[in-house]
Amino acid sequence: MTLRINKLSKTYPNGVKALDNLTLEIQKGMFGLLGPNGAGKSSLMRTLATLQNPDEGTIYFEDIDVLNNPMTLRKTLGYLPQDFGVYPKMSAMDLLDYLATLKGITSRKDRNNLIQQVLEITNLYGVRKQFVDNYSGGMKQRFGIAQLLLNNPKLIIVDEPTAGLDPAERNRFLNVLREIASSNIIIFSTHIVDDIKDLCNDMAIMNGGKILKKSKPSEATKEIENKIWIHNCSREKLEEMEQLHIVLSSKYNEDNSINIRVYANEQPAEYFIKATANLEDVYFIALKNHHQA
Amino acid sequence: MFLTILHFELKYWLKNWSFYIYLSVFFVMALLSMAGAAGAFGEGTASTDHIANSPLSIYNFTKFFNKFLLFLLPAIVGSTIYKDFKSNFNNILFTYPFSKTNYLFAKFLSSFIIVSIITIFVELGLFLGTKIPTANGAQLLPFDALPYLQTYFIFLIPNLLLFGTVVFVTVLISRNIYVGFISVILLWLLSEIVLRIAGIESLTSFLLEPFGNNATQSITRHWTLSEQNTLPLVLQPIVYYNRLVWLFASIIIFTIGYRWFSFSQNLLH
Repeated sequence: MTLRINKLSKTYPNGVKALDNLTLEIQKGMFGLLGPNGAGKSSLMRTLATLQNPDEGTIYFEDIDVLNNPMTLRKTLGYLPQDFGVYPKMSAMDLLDYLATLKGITSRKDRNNLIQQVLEITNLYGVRKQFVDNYSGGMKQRFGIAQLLLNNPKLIIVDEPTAGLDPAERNRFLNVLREIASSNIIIFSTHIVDDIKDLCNDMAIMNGGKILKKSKPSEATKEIENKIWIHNCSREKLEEMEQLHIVLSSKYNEDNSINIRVYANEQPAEYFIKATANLEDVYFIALKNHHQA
Repeated sequence: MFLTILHFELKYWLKNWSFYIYLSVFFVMALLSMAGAAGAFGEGTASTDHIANSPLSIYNFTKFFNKFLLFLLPAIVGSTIYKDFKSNFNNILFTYPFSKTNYLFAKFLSSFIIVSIITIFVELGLFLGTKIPTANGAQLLPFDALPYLQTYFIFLIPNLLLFGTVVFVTVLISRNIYVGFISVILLWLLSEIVLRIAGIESLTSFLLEPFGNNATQSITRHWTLSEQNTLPLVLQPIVYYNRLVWLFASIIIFTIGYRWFSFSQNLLH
């Protein structure tokens, strides 16, 4: 099972280049798409979900030519948009029943079984009779997962689903995702590095409409092993440090000093201490390289 | 899929109290208008030499109610398409495996059926207004279904279809319900302008006045009082040509909206 994205480009009428000759191949499993806001993640996701057309390029899912046969893809697609709502004053049960019919499940019995199943997976069975427009943010996102599962999709696209969730809701949501990731491709976009670390077996970092790096999270951190250094410096020194070294991130301590993380092949100075590389370092290195290029 | 969406939208309206309010208001207004004209509320309310349910009188009543019915169109036809955008449900729905044809036709037809049902209650109200026990029998003709059917199928329904299509397409394109209201007023103004420029007795205005009233009244305008009270509604061929012109216009407007619309539209950010 493979999703092949080839040389995808899209420039909006206002001149923003959202996708820039983007090529990407995604295999079965949980794929994380990491990038800052405005990187083009949503544009890519919406294009994959057949909600907008690129100017150039092709997308193939298995043997489906997605851009020319959007309807064929939709039959096997599950999509959770970044921003969605539902009709007011309708319960999860009633909405899912309508949506399941729209996904082509005509038998009432099949529908009822399926709805019960997706409500249980998403932990919404207890609140199935409540109006979805009264749900909390986390419940609404899980409803979004419930609806996308209705056609047993092979390609699942979830666009920034953890944005705005509190930590408990976020964990519950990620657990639901983990549960459904078995025999399909799940593409998951986020600007939160921890989401990827906790969940994905493959990932890409995106910015400026381009893929900056594609790698397995574990391999990506292995590549920069022994190249991450930390130093605790005063606030006044930060600027100097940034000029001298590749400073990836800086965090304030309680005494107003700053811990900086630096990327370098060799120990940059004797006061630097070697640190364990993490995925956040990978992310910032990719973004830094892109900004310099 | 067409039937699924149609059924869902019809059920949505039939379970919505606003449908019953619209329906009751039009029914009661029509009933009281007819009853009043038939002297049911005493001599002072009606001129006694007019027959209240003559074909021309029924026509005049429906012509009056037609204007008010137009303002149901944004509320019903417009909102049926608008609610998908307003709720942001379209972001999910438009990735579902149904076709644009099924979606647009089911959305339009369901809302138009609802408007047609409310319109039936105008005719029903007019008819039952003649049955009020206190009505003056001398101001009433025996029941005849034809003028009710004529006004419903030749005037009200085609007019609502035209304005309904305009509202549907403008809301579809603008994704804004208020533009739907404005489009009703603009089309109405346009018809007034046509009348002023072409003059009420010209062939142009017979054909291009969108309600078909000018073509009809070109005959009835010259009727004497006793003719107004007794004659059936004479519909000359020009009335049917007018209806055809605007039916064709409705189809063209719908086609423009259909061609323009796509599930794949740009997100500007």
